[in-house]
Amino acid sequence: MRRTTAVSAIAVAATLLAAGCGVGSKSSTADATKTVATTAALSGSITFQTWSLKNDKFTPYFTKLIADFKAAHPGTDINWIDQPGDGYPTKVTSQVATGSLPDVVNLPPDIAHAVAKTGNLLDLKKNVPTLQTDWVKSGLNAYNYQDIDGGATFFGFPWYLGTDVSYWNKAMMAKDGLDATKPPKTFDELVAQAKVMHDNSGGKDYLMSRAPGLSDIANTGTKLLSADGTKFAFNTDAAEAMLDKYTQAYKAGYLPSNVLDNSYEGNYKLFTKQEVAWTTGGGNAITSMQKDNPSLVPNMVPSPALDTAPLYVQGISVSSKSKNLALALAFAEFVTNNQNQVDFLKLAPGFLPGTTASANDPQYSKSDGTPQGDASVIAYKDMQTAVNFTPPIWTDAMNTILNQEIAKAMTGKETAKQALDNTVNQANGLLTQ
Amino acid sequence: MSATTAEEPRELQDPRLGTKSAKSTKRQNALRHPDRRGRSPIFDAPTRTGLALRYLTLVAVLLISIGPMLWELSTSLKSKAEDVFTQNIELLPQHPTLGNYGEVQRTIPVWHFAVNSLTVAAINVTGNIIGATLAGYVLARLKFKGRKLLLGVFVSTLILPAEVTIISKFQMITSMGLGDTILGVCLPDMIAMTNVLLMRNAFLALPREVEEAAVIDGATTLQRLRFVGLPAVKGTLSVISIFAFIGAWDDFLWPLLVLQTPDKLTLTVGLSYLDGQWSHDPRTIAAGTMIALVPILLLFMVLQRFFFRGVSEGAIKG
Repeated sequence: MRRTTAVSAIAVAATLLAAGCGVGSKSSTADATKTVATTAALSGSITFQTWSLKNDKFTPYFTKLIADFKAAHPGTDINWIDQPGDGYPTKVTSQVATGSLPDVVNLPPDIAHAVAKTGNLLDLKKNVPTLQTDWVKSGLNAYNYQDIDGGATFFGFPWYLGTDVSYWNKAMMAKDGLDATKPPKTFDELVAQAKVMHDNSGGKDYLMSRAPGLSDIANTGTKLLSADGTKFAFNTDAAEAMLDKYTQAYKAGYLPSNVLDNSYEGNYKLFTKQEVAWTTGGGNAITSMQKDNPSLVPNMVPSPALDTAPLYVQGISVSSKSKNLALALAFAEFVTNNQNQVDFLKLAPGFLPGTTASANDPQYSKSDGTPQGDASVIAYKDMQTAVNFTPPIWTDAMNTILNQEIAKAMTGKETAKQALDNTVNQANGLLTQ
Repeated sequence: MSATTAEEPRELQDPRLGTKSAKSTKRQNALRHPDRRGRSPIFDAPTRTGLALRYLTLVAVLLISIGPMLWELSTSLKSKAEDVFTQNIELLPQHPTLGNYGEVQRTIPVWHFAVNSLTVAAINVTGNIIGATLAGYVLARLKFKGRKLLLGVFVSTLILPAEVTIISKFQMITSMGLGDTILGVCLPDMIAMTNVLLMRNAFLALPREVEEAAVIDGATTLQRLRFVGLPAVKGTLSVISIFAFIGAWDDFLWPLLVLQTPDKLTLTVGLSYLDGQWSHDPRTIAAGTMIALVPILLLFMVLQRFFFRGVSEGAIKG
């Protein structure tokens, strides 16, 4: 939920960042790739910024985290600030533009990319020798950008990882002659079961409720980028075939007719209202549903994501403009070290730590028997193969083009091939702007 | 005014009967039962069905406009065990509770944020009332070189979308040393261009002759503004007060950018802490929204008499 808002604002933010830096602080990549001297004892104070984590649940954790750090390094002080969920990319943009980016910042990969491009994030590879052994590769790769230094730099410590899990409405499926314990595993099975649901309910109930997106294209085995990583090239035959299948399902009435227009509320919302029987959600969706619609919780059955699951990464970055780089770097490492991540994850079911020591820890593969426990285990299993599909150069404007072209294809105004060709051409056009 | 006793005046009174169909009028008179057509004896009053239709439409529009607010209100009163999103909207909570309001207070210092918001709103309203009045009067009444050009420049700033200027505005505010201050939040909106234009139009609506009479009586410019101009534009003043208040009270992005320290946050920014990835509860968000709604409702109730006068003022002369 929060991430979609973030993504929709990121395009604006990226543009503004470029503009903002032209006016404000002159940045150079020299700052980003400098080496931090870590020999002297730590002292002084820094600011640490989290995103939407100051609340009843997490405040005690961070208070203790900071106290622990200060006890280990007397004479240091950490000023913890938290930003609200809404408007975060713009907030970070303004901080960069005025040179007030906090020393240690919690940034998702897309925002980190925009900031790193302006030279405001410190390259961690140069300063942390154990970076590639102590933190998981999939998480690190999300902070490694082909268009910055040719991909030789890394701008974030992986902090916690999330993925999508499928959730099924047991009661609705039973009513229409389906078994939630045998949910579809592939896209083709999904369409087949959607047909059963459609036919048995007289077209009232739906299983599928979203138009395809970039991840569906990636799931066909299509490489989104050209080999050198500078251009989009996902107009392949496989993607075309996938889009054709969606078009046929849409024409047959297996999806609600409004999935292509603005009145579409999103698959999770429709699932909450019990209009559709399948949604994807984070590993903690059952816990969230407990707050939205408690009566639906007993009917939620989790299962692994269809095909390859997407990977969502949160990370901790260090500002290259920090006045106290040694302390900032030490604290960022401390926040994301194995023990602290393990403790953090105790508060966040359905997610996984970003450290190699724990990411494969079998304790996450044991359910406590509750549906939320099962979902956490499924999320753990999904995460072993999950991939971060979205290339950092993919912007919100491009996503809008993709959605529009897909809508044209699904309503029969264009062929799937035309739609994909148009999207790739227009997206590549935006790249060179 | 009984219609049955006076037939002739009634015919005159009701233009709809008119001369179009003398036959039907005659028939009706003969029946001596005007209520058969359901027509009220009062001039231009609607028929019963017409009245019913009017009220039905009114109720329908009322439901459409306050429906979402009612839903928020009912959500804020729902207990943790109840479903929030249902196929058929249930407005009456099964187990009504005020617990969500308590939770809002425990989670964020909501009253402190509200005071901050009120401060910002008060400064903005004052700034707009004084600034927009002076500027509007100058643009409407005083003659000086470059007046048209000035007006043109002012109007052209309206074309720029706020999103384009927000970062440069922010850089200006921080370089003035006003980052992270309440004044920094207020300053850019203290004199809004739309309000200046509204005031200018309101002053233009006042006949020039009235002011010329005041000039002959020896009134200075400020006296003319105070004793001739201002009494005539009270309606528009209340309109811009409400606009300035709502604008300041509802703004989210700008205070989010300017303010850093948690105890300086305004209510809209503070409330968004309720909606986190990990702590998303629609009931407490709704409760916070209801708290934020109260001052606007109060202000509108106090000013609504002037408000509608102001709206029609602009409608006639604008």
